[in-house]
Amino acid sequence: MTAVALRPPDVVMRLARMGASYPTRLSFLRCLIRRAAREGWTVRRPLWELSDTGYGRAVYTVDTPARRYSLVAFSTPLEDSRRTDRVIAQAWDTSYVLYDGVPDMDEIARLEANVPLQEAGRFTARDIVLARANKSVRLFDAVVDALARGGQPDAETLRDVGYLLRTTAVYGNGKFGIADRDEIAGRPEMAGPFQAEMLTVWLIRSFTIQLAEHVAQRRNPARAVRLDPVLRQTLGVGNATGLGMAPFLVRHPVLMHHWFHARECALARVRSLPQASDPARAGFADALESLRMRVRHWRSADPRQAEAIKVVAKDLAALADAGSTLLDSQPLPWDALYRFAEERLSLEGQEACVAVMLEPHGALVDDLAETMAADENVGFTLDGRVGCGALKALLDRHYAWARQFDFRDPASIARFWYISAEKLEPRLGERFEEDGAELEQPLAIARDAMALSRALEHERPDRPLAEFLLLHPEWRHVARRAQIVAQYPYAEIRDNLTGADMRPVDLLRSKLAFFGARNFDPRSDRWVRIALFAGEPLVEEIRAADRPGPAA
Amino acid sequence: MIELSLNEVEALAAKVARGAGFPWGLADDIGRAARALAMRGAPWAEALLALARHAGDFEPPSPERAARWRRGEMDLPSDIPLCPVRTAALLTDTGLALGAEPLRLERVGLPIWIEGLLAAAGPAWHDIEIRGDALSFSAAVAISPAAQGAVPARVPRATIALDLLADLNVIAGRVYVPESERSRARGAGGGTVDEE
Repeated sequence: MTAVALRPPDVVMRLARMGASYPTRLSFLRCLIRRAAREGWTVRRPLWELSDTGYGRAVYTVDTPARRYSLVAFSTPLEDSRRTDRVIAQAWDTSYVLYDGVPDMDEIARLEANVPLQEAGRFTARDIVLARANKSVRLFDAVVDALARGGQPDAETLRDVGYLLRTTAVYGNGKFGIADRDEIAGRPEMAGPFQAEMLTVWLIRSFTIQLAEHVAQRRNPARAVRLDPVLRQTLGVGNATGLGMAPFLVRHPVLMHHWFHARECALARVRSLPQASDPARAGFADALESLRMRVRHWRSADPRQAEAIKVVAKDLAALADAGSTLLDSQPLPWDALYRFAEERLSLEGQEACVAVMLEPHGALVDDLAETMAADENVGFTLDGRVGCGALKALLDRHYAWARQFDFRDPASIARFWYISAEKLEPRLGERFEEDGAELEQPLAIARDAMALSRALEHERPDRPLAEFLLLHPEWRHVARRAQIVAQYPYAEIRDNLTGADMRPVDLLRSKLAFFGARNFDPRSDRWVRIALFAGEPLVEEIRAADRPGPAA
Repeated sequence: MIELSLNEVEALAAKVARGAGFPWGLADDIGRAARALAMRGAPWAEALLALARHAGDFEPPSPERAARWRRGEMDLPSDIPLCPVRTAALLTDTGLALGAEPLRLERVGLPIWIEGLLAAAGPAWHDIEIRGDALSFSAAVAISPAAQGAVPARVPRATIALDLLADLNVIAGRVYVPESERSRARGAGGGTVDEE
């Protein structure tokens, strides 16, 4: 079997392509769903204390083979004028904690005093994830009205919006006193990236649906009905994501590498297959048709995304037309399909093609999900015994891509990343128009790598790096990063993150696609709305759902 | 007192270090070191405040002095105490091979940070003996290979007094950029109230 090489980082790690990412079967919520189905997780609702208008508290408990986790949910009245998706908000319709175990009444009281306050509350090591969500008011009310009258809401509208509530923050890893990731990373069900966060959102999804059904039932006990199961599965949880998430990708280079490397390995495995089996062809056709259906319902007010949606719809039609013939190719049918996409389709079309190609090949690629977590202590210790010449050579080799940017051109350094004093959140400033550039965060990687390379020109090549850093500690973070990138080729975004034309939403989309997000709807160049779990099984039905078997 | 997660300790310490003037790379090391100290139940917060306030009172080891250490010769201290962070960074960068004799450093400022940085670099290779107070401004330190199988204590959560946290937050605040009307308007993408 001819092994097809991985797509190189110079192709994969560019902002334009990252900004065209699609979720795949290796996305984190898909991994969670597969595990839950495989292990037969069950969900109970031990507490449901909500008023007629839907305010109060609820607890959902998930039984996994080794442990229990509970979503503790609070629903509180919120004036319309205070409902904002931005992180500056101070009150929300609903707030949540994923709790380690099953909370007793004392613990629920403690949570009730803190969870609705979010960042202003304090949390303990029993609290694994902290989150909040606001209603999509018009749709929520429309669904309640329809159900209370004994009817169903308009399916088209439901599909177009995709969710009843949207989260505006989902915090993990020790924020505001919640559990450190170290505390749960050793548990198989939490070992993969963002599994606790995905479980939280999955449970929130069920809460949002049952909340609407509850209000409808209380409004009209005699006639109210439940949401149709097909519509229920359509609904996900919305999410509004802004700049806060963007620096994560840069600050976690080893983790980044593992995510992209796993996906690229999966693609290379499929491209290397010597034949396209009938079940795999059928699975591909189904996945393609399902994606085309989603694209038809994909709405974005952003002109650029709206155009990209039109183009990807055409791309997918072209793929559907050509797919069958391409899959007859010898000797590498899937490679022929991918190369067709690479030659003929837009970046969105190419990345969509990758996602669809992986879909029927679970048996071949799903094990790669186990490689997506990373020990980020690896690579932290610098090797200062190497010579300055060796480090310079390493920089010149692994940052050759950075030479395309001319950092003497003000447009190349037009932006700077900083932490806002007001919200303690990452922000993007205009270097030549705003104050604060001297407090820039170290995200100008390309610029700094080039600058270190130039600084090393003046050093004796055999001078140990440790000695250079003793005199020039300001280069320490760049030297450390270069040594990491030399080991982990997908660790670096190979683009300029400070350029005037840089679009932060490209970073957001890439990360969100790894989560499993769909329906990307950029609201500006720096924040985006998405849906999670739309179309996936409900958590309480996972045990009864068809166990995913080998599709290929 | 307030309880902090170890991630909060690390994030706070890195910001404090940066606010106190340490470059990014060393600030990252200090964040990890503070976490390692907190995990061992050591007084990381007091150590952090002292480091931030006195960072300018210490000096890095000179290349000549470091060369003496490498050759196993006796340390020749200068009048100014050694910066524990710069010293430990050099030791971890060079992966200093320890022989049967401990490496003895004279006049080290806040030697607790030697312990913190070496602990953050890996559990394996050292035992540290500090003659005197780990928080003193000038103490002698002896570093030896770790005893086989020694596992340090692990505390999963940190605690800190509220006034100390307030002092540290002031220093951490130096890394933040105050908002202007302009940056507020476009920094996060414009103010939008849900319209749906």
